[in-house]
Amino acid sequence: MRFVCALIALASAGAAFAQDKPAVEPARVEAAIRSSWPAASPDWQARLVPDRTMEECSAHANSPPAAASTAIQKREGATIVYPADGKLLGDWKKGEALAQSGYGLRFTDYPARRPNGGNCYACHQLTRQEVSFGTIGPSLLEYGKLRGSTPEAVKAAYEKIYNPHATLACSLMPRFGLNKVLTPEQIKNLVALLMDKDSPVNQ
Amino acid sequence: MTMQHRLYDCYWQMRLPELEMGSEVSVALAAYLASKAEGGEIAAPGMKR
Repeated sequence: MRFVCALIALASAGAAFAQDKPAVEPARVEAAIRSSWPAASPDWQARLVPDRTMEECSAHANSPPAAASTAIQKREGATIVYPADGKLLGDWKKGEALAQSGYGLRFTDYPARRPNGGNCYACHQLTRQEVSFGTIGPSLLEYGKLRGSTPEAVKAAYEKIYNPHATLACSLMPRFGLNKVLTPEQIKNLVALLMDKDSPVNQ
Repeated sequence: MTMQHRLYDCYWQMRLPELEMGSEVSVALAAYLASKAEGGEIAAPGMKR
């Protein structure tokens, strides 16, 4: 599990841009991180360690050269697992509940008392009814209406949720499928929320 | 509610381990946010999910 966007923010606070000499040495940042989570078990410490894609994105302040971007997208795209039944559209009503829920994988969520949520509204506008939404991600209002529900558009939505780095090398969006935040079945329900003509997203 | 509490909750929501109150990361991040906010105006009340 790799949720280290905050660490990226911390690193850029130290002006750790690729070509410039960082104001704070990376080793100094590492030491600060190690000292700030002293009580975490090895399992939890692992969440503080960036993977290869995060390392590359941090080194280039999220704008890697074209060849590196392509390589990241190819590598991340290869991680995508599709549902066994080949169907990518689920139930939009279940998708809406998932979009609202921020439950799961926090240190107070063990043992799990209910399924993980996607917390989509934390970053995206999705429906006109829900007025409490974040703006870190683009508005997804009328997502399906604007794109049409072609098999290609449906597949693109599934892949975007499963692993956003496959379409945008240094996306800020979590990799919900790869990191096992959501199951393929749950992702199908979110794809339906985006694509179904009856979904409140497309009203 | 102090800035330390807010950062503790921020890391909680990011699925990261429990942040040590008063740790170097917490102080550095609060200082960074304060410096970025300098001269800004607070728009209140806000809305929280």
